[in-house]
Formats: sequence, structure tokens, C-alpha cells
Amino acid sequence: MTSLPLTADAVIADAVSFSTALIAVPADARIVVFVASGVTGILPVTPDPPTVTGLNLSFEQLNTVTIDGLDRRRLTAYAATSPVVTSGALTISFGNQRQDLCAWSVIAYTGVVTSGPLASFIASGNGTDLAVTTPVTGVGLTLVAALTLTTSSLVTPRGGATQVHEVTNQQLGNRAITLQTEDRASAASSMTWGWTGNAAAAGIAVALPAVPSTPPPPPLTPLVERLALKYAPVLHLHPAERFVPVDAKRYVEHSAVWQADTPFDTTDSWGGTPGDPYPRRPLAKAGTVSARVGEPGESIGGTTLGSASSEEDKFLQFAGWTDGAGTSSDTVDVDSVTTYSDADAIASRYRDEPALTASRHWYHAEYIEPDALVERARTSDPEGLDRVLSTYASRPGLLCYYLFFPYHSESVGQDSGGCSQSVTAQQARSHAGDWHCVALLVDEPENDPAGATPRLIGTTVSRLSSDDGGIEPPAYSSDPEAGISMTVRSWRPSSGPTAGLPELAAGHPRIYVAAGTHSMYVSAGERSPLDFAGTALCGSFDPGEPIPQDLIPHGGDNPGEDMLAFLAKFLGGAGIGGALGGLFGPIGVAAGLIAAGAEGVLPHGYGLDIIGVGDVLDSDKAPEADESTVIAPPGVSVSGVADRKEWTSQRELEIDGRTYDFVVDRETQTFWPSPTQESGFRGRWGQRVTSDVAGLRAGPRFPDVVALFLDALADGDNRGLFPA
Amino acid sequence: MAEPWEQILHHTYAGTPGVIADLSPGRRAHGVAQQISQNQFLPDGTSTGSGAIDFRGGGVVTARIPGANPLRGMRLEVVIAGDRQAEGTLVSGDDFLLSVGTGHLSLYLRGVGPIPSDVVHVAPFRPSPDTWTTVGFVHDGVSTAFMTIDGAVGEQIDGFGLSPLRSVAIGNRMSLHSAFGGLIDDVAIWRANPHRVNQEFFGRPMDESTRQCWLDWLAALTDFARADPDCVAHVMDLVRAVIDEMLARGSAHSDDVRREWQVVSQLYRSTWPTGDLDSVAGVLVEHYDYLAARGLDPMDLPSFIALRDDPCFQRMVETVGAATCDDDFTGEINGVIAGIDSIRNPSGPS
Repeated sequence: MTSLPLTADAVIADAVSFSTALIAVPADARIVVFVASGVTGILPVTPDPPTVTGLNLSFEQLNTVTIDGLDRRRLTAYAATSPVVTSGALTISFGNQRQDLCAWSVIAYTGVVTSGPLASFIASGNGTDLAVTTPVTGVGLTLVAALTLTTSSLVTPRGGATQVHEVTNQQLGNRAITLQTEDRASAASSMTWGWTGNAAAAGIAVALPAVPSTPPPPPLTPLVERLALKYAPVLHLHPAERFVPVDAKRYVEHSAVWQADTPFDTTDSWGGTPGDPYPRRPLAKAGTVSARVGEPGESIGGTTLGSASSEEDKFLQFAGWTDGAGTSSDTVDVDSVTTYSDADAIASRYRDEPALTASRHWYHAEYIEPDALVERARTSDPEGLDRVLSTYASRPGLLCYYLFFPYHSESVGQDSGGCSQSVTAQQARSHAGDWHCVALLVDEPENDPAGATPRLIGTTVSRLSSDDGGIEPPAYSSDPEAGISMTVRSWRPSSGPTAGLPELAAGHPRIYVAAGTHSMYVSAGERSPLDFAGTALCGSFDPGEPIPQDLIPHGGDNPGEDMLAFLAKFLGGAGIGGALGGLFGPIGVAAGLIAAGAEGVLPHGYGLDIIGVGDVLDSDKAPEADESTVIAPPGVSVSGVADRKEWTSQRELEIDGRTYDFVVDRETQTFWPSPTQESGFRGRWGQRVTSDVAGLRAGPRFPDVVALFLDALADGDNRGLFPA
Repeated sequence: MAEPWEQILHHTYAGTPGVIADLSPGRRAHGVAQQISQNQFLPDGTSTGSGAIDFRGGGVVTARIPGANPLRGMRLEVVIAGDRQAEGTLVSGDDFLLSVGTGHLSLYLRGVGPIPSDVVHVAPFRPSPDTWTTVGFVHDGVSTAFMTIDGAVGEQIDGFGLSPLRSVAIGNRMSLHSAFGGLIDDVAIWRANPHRVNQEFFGRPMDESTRQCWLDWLAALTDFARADPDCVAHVMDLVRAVIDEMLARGSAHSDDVRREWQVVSQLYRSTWPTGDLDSVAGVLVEHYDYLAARGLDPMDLPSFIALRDDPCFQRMVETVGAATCDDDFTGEINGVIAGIDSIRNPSGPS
């Protein structure tokens, strides 16, 4: 309620009508007018109630009260509603009855009801005080009241009311009039006044109900949440699977953060520089990291813990290392084993620590809205990628489900049996931490965003395979640093090798997860990989340079990326020959030259065979439905499976003062890299290990899923891989 | 053994008309269509849905190829169709031009290296309106190029180096004055795998101590390079020059020598990954003997002498030296030194 005093006056005159001063009335206001008067004459009669006109408003008389006796008076209350802003003067008319005393008070109220009857109450008496009983209640009620006296007295509001106007006037013959108005913004049992000296008094109180407050609409569930819940995937896990998707935030909070410098696969480069004393220590111990703005600990997304470059990296260590033969280490000391990530230790923590056990069966969801997605495509290569997007959806948004497994198991040479007893082969491409994703390109109707319809589905895999048993992969894009490829297919096409896929359970896509590698497929069964393993001799060594090629400074086009080996030969030849003395130095240089030449000749297609010595990846073992354990949204049943779990993902879950939320917010959840890769955690989600030249057994980085999806989209569009 | 070629551009011209994605593994050479209407993008080419561009309407596709240099070899293939009189530019690079016209497939090369020169070679060829033809060329990165038509060598070009490659124009020159009067379905470019030599040298079985040996050697090399980067760059230029001159002279000498280099390379590259470095040394010594017998002794090359006598190289030898903690590598080099010495000094050790 807002009270706006407009005008008041007390006039001595011998007149039948009176005009107020000019007033301006706000819109949607209730105007209350109190008029007190006394009739001219030595023996006055009881005054008639006047009429109030003006402003093109209709003033309704609410109530009136008289003071009887020798000096008769009348007090009357009026109300009108002003729907619009208006201005002018009011006229108070008494017909033919002349008044020699007239007082008025005009007040506008907004925020009160502007239609319907108003309750009003009256009282009169003699003495030094008066109370008008106001038997009315209501939330936001306003009471406004007027008192008139037959004397000129100073009136004091009582009972918590606030004075609005007080006017008084007195004739020479000592006949006087006082009009006082007051109000209060709440209900009360009465409106009361006090004054000095006995006087006859009359009062009117008017109750102004507040505008009924419309109940606030229930908070609208964010679109990302509605979409995420609508299409949350049903995961089919292989019976041999040891790990399930977990809350990545709780993984971070239970991990230590290490710094590693190049070369990354030696403990000399971890937590210090070569020559520093052992044991080496992480930048932040487990349990000391903050993964959300405002939560205690050092921020995982800050420069100290979150940054990464080609020469300085960060990695999470959730559990210790092992040599794969029964010896484990939790620390990095001179005698520690650091060959592989310790899968058993990771599994034990998720089994035995309640806080971690409760974080299982969790997905994270992010929705890239159409404007942002189209802009991302417009600024990406190839030129016109935004037009490719519009080929498949009119308002394309990308709904991403991020799935974090705490361990990735990937072997070589096991299917063939050639490396069946080899620990190095079993561990060849295994590492702590494993990010995967299910992404839906949806067509988002402008008038009903929640009615979005999937057009394409993207799933990540650890190795590429063909949908039809051939040699061509589906549309894809790879991220070696994340260890995954994004594959994109039509959503339930009517033809092609994935016709009718993915299968749905109550509208949720069914995804088949390969054992260990967590490759995500839209159908069941094993796949033979198209890729080479990147290892050789049962995983016992990784072909590749022992250090990054860009370690040796050079600029522009020269000298070429193969110079490391050439320099080794020339310097080796000259050095060894020089040590022999005499002419052996130059001959040594020649030895290096001839070796470099033999290696430098480009084998072309006219006589040279390419001999492969690499290992063969094992097949990706996605389960059959009937042997699988499914993780399904609550309430979604899937028949014909071995076991069923439910997603535990929640919004705003509070545990020990920390908040866990499945909806991705890259502003507050600092474990996600920012879209520009300038902040957030950009390191590896599992520890480094030793003797790992190519980083095959190091934890992955979090992938740029949008970039992968768009790149795969361009690939599939150019190869005509998206049937309707 | 590492793959010899790495694809760096692959355009198919299928999919959404006007959007030209690079499908090579690196996906960094996306195309940009200039003055090509949507109608010139045809849905079908060599097969249904394979896409093609009808360059009879003019225009050009351009593509930048970042990070391709230095080129140690290059291979280009373009799939075309057109009437028998169709002519114009198929693909032009910074220093090459593949075109058709007057009954020939033409390749212009701006040579670099020991024998810089410009050359235009032609092979008899006319496009066909009824069948698709794959034309292109392979350059070995040193001195020899082969023009190819449907996989067969149409012309051999010797003695010309390979210039850097930074961008290409497809179906026309950049200046738009030489549009190909036919259709192009597919363009692919490969470079010699720049990681091959390093991968093969270091990608042999070695135990952890040997690997640590090389890490120490590389650390010493890195320290030297950081202290005197100009010296390292200078030595790398000399090393590259002597390798190129040795291979180029052999290639220019005769087909036999060129084939012998290929055979030696094959033997070397197949033996090295097995760790049998004695056999490697034997192969190299025999090859030195083969070259010396034909007047191609590498030690007589001016670029060899320049490297041998270079004070910067000598300082690197003294400071960085050899990775002598790798017994296999040391044994191989010792074997080659002894073998060459016995060839040069048949009467006894020098």
C-alpha cells in the first residue's frame, strides 16, 4: 500500500459548495475523501451530507456520522476509484443548505483493492479521546480514519496510526472545526485519537483491503533439466564391467593434484624437477581441493591446479600405482612402483568409502542452446558448418550427457591369445579416469523448448569400428588427448546399418557400453576395431619418440620433425669415430650420413612393403541385452536384462556443506574447463605413469564435446552417412 | 614400421552444397568455394552421393594446408571427368601446377634444393566424359617425381626438389583465369610422414636403461640448443643439405642407384625395428661400397665436407657427442666405421 496525501483544508464561509485545491491522482488508486461541516445559523440544524464531484470520478458515500446537540456537525466519508492518472479539483456541494464550517481531507491509496464495497465504522462522543472500533482483519489491510472536533484542538494519533492531515479553523464567535485524518498499514481493533480539552467528536474509519497478492508461480524447471530428464540414457553394462559412471566432482574432491613437467613419464618430472629429493609431493593433497565456487579448499580451476601446457601438465591421482604383479605404491618415492594405475585400489575406494559409494550411477548433463550452437558452428571450420546444422534441425540444440568412469581398461593381443599371459599387454592402454559422452542434436521448437525432438545421436568410443562389418567407420572425430572418438549417427533412421536405432525404453535411448573401454554403442554385441593399437610386442613398448619433438627449438619450416634421429646418427657417428681418433672422426660422420640416408629415403608405392610390427587391439565387447546390468532413470523399466540400477543424479544435493548437481554450470563448477579453455581444470583425470612415451596409460583430458560433434557432423555430411 | 604417407587434405564435395570439409585425419585443410554457385555442386560423381563440382561454371576451391612443411615427399590425386577437349587447372600449389589441355596432363614444378630449376613435363592424356580418371603425381621429396594416371606412371621427372606447400587452388588458378572445363569428384594430398624417421629410429625394442640413455642424450642436446639455437639450426641445415645432396646425386646417376637406395632403405627399415643392429651395419657398409664403386662416395660431397669442417658441428660433437650408453647403437656405428675404413683402406686399418 502506498498512501498519497492529496489535499486538506478547513474553511470558514457561508456557502453551499466548496472547492478543493487542484490535485493529481495516480492511476489504479482508491481516493478517500472525508468531509466535516457545520450549518450556518444561531441554532443550527443537523447538516446534510454533501456530494463530492470532480475528476470525472464517481464518489460513493461510505458512511456518515453526526455530532448532535447545540452545535451540530456531520462527518462523511467517500471513496472513488481512479483507473488512470487524472488531475483537477473536487467540489463539495451541500445543495441549498449553507455551511459556515467545512473541512476536508483527500487521500489517494494505491496497492489496495480498487473495486467492491469498503467496510467503514463510526463513533462519536464527548471528552478528550475517541476510538472507532474496526472489527476487520486481513493481510495487508489498510485503515484510514478521520476525526472531527467542535473545537480547535491539537489531535494526537494513538495506537500506532500515522497522521495524514490535520486542519482546523475558528470563527470569531469561537465556533471552531478540526479535521484530522490518520492511517495505518495493518489491521487494528480500533482507530483512536486524543486531544486536550473536552470537545464533541465524531470519527469514521474505513478499511482498505490490500490487492490480493497473486501467488508466485512455481519456479520453472530449467530447460536443461527437463530435457536431461526426458532423454537420460539407459546404459547397458557388460557383466565383466568393474566400474560405473560416478560423480566427477566427488572424484576430484577425493583426488590429489600433481604437476608434471616434460618428459611426463618419469617420476623425476613429477612434483619437482630432476634432482629434487624424494618422496615427491602433489600440489594439493586429496581432500583439500575445491571444485565449486565458494566451497572450501584450493580451486581446481585456478591457475595453480587447473592450467596445462605442452611442457607443464597437471594430473589427478585418485589411487596409487602398481606394477601389475602384486606390488603397489601410494606415494612417489625412489623405490615406488609407478608403472600402471592401480585399478584394484580405485575399485576398493568406491566399494568401501560410503561417500564415494553414494556418488556412483551419476551422469552430468549440459545443454548447448540453439543460438550458442549455431554461433559455434558459424565460427568453426569448414565454412558453412552452420548450414550443415540447419540441414538436420531447424533450431538445433545439443544435449550432452557426460559420463565419467574412474578407470579405463584396454588390452591388446588377448583375443588372439598371442599375448594372453602378458601383463604389459593386459595393461597396454589402461589408465585411471575415463570420459565418455552421449550427445543428442535436438530440434528445439521455439514455442515449446521441452518438445525438442532428437535428429542425430553422438556417442563416444575408445576405438573406431564399422557399423556394417566393413572398413568404414561411422561419422567421427577424434580427440587423442581425451582418448576417444565421437561417432554420430541419425536418430532412429528408417534405413542403413543403424535403422531403428537407438532402441528406446520409455523414450530413453538404450546405449550398450563395452567392457573396460566404455565405448558407447547404439546396439549390442562385439565390434572389431579398425585402429592399430599404437603399441608393439604385447604392449612392452610404444613406438614413438622418447621426448616431445618440439623440445628442440627451431622455427619456421626448418629443420623438420625428423631431425632428431638424423642428429643422433651424425653426432653419434662423429662422436664415436672421433673417440677412435685419426680419420675415424670423418668416417664416423660418413657412417651417420649413410645411415641417415637409408632411413631418409621415402618408400613409395613401387617396391617397398610396409611391415607392421604393432599389436592388435582386442575387440570392443559391448554386452547383449540379456546379460547386461542397466542403469536407468527412476521409473523406467527395461525388460529382459540381468539387473537394474537407477541413476542417482540430482539437483543441488547438499552433503557436508558441499553441493552436487548433475546440471553442468561452467561458471560455478570449476572442474569443467571453461568454453574458451582459459580456466577450469584442463589437466588429466588420471595419473601419469612411467615408461609411457605416447601417454597411452595416462589419464585423459576432458574433451571439447561440441567441437567433436560438429567435426563429426561435417564428416558424416560429406560422406552421406545420415539417412533420414 | 611407420606409415610412409600422411594424408593432409581430402575433399569429396559431397554433403551440404558449398560446404567443403577436409576428411583427412588432421581435418585442417577445409575448402572454401569462391564464385561457385550451389548448382555447380552435383550430388553424384564417381558414385551416387559421392558429390562433385562442375567447374565449367568457373570458380575455384581454395584450401590452406597449415603445418605441412617441410615436405619430405608429396603425393596428389584428383579424380576428374570431362569431354575430350576439356582443359584447365586441376590443382595448383605454391610451386606446382597440375593441369590438362591439348591432349596432355601437365605438371609444372618449381624446383628447389641442390639443383633448383623450373620444369614442365607432360604425359599424353585426355579426360573422358564417360569414365572418371584419377590423375596426379608423387614426389619423393629429394629429386624425383612421377606423374600418374589411374595408378600407372605416365612420366618420370628427375633432378627436381620439392618446394614448401602452404595452400592449394582446385579447379582453377587463384586468379580465376584458368577454370577446368570439367568435373572434379575427389582431391587428396599426402605428405611423407614427418614422424616416420623418428618413430622408426626410436621405435625399436629397448630396455628402460637404454631409453634412459637416450633421454640423457636428448637432454644434453636440448641444453646445447637452448644455449645456442643458431648453431643447432645451422647444423640442421647442413645435415639436411648433405642428405639431400647424397640422395639427389644418386637419383640423378641412374635408375639402378635409385632402386638400390630403395632396396637398402627397405632392408634397413625392416631390420632396425628387430634390434639386429649387426645386420643393419652390414647393410650400410655394403651400400657405401656400392656407392663408392660408382663414383658416388658420400665423403666426397661438398656438403659433406662443409659439415665435417664446420666449427659449430664440431662443437656439438664435443659437447653433446654420441649416446654411447646405447650398446646396440654404438656397436652398429662402430661396425659401419670399421666397414667403411676397410673399404677406403683395404691394406689395413687407418
